[in-house]
Amino acid sequence: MTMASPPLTALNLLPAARALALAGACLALGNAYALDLTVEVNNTKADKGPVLAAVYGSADGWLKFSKAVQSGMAPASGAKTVLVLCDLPAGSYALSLYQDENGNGKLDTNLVGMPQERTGFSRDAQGNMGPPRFQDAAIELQQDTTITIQLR
Amino acid sequence: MDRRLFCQSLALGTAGSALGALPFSAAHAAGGPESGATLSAFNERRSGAPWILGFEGLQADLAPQPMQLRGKLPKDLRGTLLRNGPAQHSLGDVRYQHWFDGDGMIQQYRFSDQGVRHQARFLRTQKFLAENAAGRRLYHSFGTQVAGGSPMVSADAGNVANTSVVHHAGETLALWEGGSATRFDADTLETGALKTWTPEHAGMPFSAHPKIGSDGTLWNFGVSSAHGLLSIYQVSAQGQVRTATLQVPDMAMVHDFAVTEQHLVFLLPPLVFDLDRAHAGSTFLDSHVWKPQLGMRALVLHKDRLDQPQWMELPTGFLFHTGNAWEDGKGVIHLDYIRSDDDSAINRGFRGLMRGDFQGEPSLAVALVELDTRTGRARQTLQAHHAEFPRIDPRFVGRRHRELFMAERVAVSNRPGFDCVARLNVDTGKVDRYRYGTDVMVEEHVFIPASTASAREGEGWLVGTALDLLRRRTLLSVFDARRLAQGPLAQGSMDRAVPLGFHGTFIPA
Repeated sequence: MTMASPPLTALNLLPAARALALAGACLALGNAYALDLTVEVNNTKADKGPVLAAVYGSADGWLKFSKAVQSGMAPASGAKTVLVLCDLPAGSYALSLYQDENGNGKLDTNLVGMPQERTGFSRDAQGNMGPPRFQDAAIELQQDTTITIQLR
Repeated sequence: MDRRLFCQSLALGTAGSALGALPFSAAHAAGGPESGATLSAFNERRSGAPWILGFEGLQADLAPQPMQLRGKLPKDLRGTLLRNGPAQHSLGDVRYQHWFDGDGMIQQYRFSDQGVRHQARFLRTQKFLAENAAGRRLYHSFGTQVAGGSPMVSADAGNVANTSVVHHAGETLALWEGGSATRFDADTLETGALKTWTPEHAGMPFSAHPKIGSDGTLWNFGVSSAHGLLSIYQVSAQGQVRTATLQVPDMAMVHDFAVTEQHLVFLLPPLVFDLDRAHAGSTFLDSHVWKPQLGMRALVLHKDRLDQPQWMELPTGFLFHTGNAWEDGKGVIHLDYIRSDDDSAINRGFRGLMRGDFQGEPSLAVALVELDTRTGRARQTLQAHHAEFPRIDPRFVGRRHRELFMAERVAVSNRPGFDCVARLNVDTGKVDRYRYGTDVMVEEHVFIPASTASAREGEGWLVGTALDLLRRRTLLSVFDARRLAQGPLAQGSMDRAVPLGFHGTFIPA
């Protein structure tokens, strides 16, 4: 199975991208129904390419980047990288991310779609010879929340 | 509460939670995930079945130690025999249900002026390190659903590197057909990194039976079952890689293949991968279905036309290993392999062994095949030998050979495996054989050309291990390969019984 690989240019075109993550901060829009999801990513490699993340709202579009609710990016300056996704309505979401170590803007895969760069999923969910299912990675977002993901 | 009812409800409660951890169909098929039943059964059988010494396994490396040598090592026989096999069968309370599951360990036998020295080290794969640090099995394996385990995220997450060894282009690799080859140091036995042949093939299966031709080119294949893909690898003596991949319908479990001057030959037993079973959570082994109606399919590929498969059909049956293949001037490929009637060994026999159960040997025979690439027709004759682990003089890979070396069984007994080593002339049917005896479990023996040899096939030594069940020690024997019946020229023994293993290679000094 191939994981969606967000090209850098598309990040500017998403409707929800107005609140695109600055590493660590959201614009305070004062909307009680807009929530912030802070993602602490462990095992990043400093001074390699950025961490790229995408948030999905349902199993339907899971890992199809054009169906992502929002995406975010943060440079990796240390072993831990923080990304913030802003202004998400309350609900169920699953997150997939990777570190684009060679900075080519996509998730490198082998012939059968297996990632060659390290990936992570919310709840540190793992799949069976492939990515985890949406329902195994999904979290409930009801207030501003911080989650931790291991890159593997 | 009535005590009977209380115990009943306890039992149901446990079973319920175990089943709840797995999709229903997978738990139903496997009889529930493994949490200790196999280890208990094995321990119970221990005193009644001496042969289970071969399947106990180890928990730690074995330090270098000289073997006690009877006879004299030929003075030209210098180098290192490396054998691989599953060696950590148990961890915590969980003993694997299948012989093929255990973590790989390299047995090293070094031949020098001082004699033979033995050493053994586990391959420090990602899985071995993670599970031994945790003190328990973390993943379902090739043949076992582990209670509390997770499925493998990728093939290499479950790589046990346990099947064979190849030395080529200056590198020594531990092989496991489910994923990548793993580098290791032939002297120190330290584990290195996974081998990546090309970026597209990173992490993809690389079989345990590569073939090295007389020009030093290595040919190998890999089966990506879930995707129905057969990958071909061609590696020059300098390490330059070319690959090709083709789609194969009804992909089967393919363990070995054969190479001739112009062709690659794959025999597909009708043990067919079923993606639905895999998605439902079955182990890799249980995701395969025996479909004898498909027959045994022979896939022939010309080395210059890997995208043009030619299919032929052979009588249905199962195989693990080929001997060798060669082509005559009339477009006919001659090939030999070891066949059995069905999948009973891999699906039942090799599971029973892990519980200390021996229910009889499968039916084995040497099969001689002719595949006519001009007419598309295949013919097969059988020679009655209950044998396995076929090897040939490595200088004859892909060329006309006449001799197969094999581990063979001639005596009826109540223990599994082989009691002889044999050399079969496939043209004449003549056999040269040495009987180790009913209390010795004989393993693969490899042929080593004598360094002063002329080009004649079979001039050299035959070297291999055997487990002496009475004295509880592993033996290492050296034969004149042309005179097996005379017995070993030299035989090392040691106060160690190493687990029965699979395949290996000899690296001359």
